Amino acid sequence: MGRRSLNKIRSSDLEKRKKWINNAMPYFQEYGIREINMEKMAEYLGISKGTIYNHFSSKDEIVEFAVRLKIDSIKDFHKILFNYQLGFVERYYKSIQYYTQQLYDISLLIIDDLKELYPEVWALVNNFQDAAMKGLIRYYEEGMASGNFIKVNPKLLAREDRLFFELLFNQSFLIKNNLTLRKAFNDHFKVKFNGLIESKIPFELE
Amino acid sequence: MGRKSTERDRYKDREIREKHTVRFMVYFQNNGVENFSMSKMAKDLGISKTTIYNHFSSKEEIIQAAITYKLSVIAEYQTVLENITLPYTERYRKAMLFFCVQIFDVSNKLLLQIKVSYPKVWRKVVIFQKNVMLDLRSYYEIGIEIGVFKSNMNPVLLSLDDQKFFDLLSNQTVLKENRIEVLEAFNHHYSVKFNGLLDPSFEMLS
Repeated sequence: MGRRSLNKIRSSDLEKRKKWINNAMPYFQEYGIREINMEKMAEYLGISKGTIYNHFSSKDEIVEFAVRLKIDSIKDFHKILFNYQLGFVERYYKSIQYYTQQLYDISLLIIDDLKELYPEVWALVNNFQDAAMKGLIRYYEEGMASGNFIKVNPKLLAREDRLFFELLFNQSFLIKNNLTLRKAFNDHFKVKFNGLIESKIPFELE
Repeated sequence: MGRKSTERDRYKDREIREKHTVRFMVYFQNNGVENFSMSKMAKDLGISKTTIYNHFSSKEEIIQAAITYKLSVIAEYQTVLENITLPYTERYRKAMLFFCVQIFDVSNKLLLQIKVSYPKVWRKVVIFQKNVMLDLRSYYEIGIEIGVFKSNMNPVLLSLDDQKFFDLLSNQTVLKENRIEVLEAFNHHYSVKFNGLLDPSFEMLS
């Protein structure tokens, strides 16, 4: 499997690859990874199989590239979480909202296929999630140190966020319950920060 | 033999069976059910194999009895959750604390082994879990309806959030790695969920 990192690829080539992968995401989302083949992917993208092979040597390379691309874009949540220009709560709200929005084209099927067929690539995802949790833990610790948060276990708080993200992979669940990512995230945020009990004065973001 | 004494015999019989069942469940919690051997269990528990066979006809029956017993204990949470003499939030706190302490003994590993090797028993577990979710869902629905909880919250998401937390407990490793006790984890879950993470003195900076 080509272990080329994204920044080692020629830039014009990189743009083309990114475009294809982004365009092919709905296809992956629906069919998972097991079912992907170069022919169908080319057909879906409206290009020739040969063109794809000019840029990707194998399906494995496509899968790894797609995963790295996704991780790279989600990673930006970190910048928002530690953007000190923003209000303290706003940092969480905006960054985790961004994070959850990025999950819109990932399905359980993709996740299950990755775990089963590409354990090495899945390890990248896992490492990313671990790193994301570390960022969140730091944020919570900061909040407790500054007295904005009650004193609870920051690791558990971060773990709960991770479980929440995993829930969002399950799109059929969201659809069945008539939930959008936005609604699910807003509920998660509201309960986490202000609690479920009615009597409190809620923190509102404009 | 008079009718009365037969009744008493049967009662006694049931009592002995139950006493064994409790011990079996503890045994499975510690040893799992994979590669489970009757002779080894009999030896470890200091019961003769004949005694076991007097009460149970097969391995599956033993496992079924042990799990059924455990589920019936856990199910006691219901009486507390539905106890209308308690304040509404207290009903949840007490009921689910009991629930969490109970399920913490049952590891994911054991559940997985049952799922793989004893599908009939597994079905019971799944039905039980579904019922817990339904109970919690209606608890939240009613709470929203009577104004204890914020309106506009999604009861399904709220109950799912609990399920994720229960999974975390059954996973055991997360708590062990972070040296968190079940009680602490539950209190954390409860206080964040009901009162929110923000310190009451948190001041909105606008």
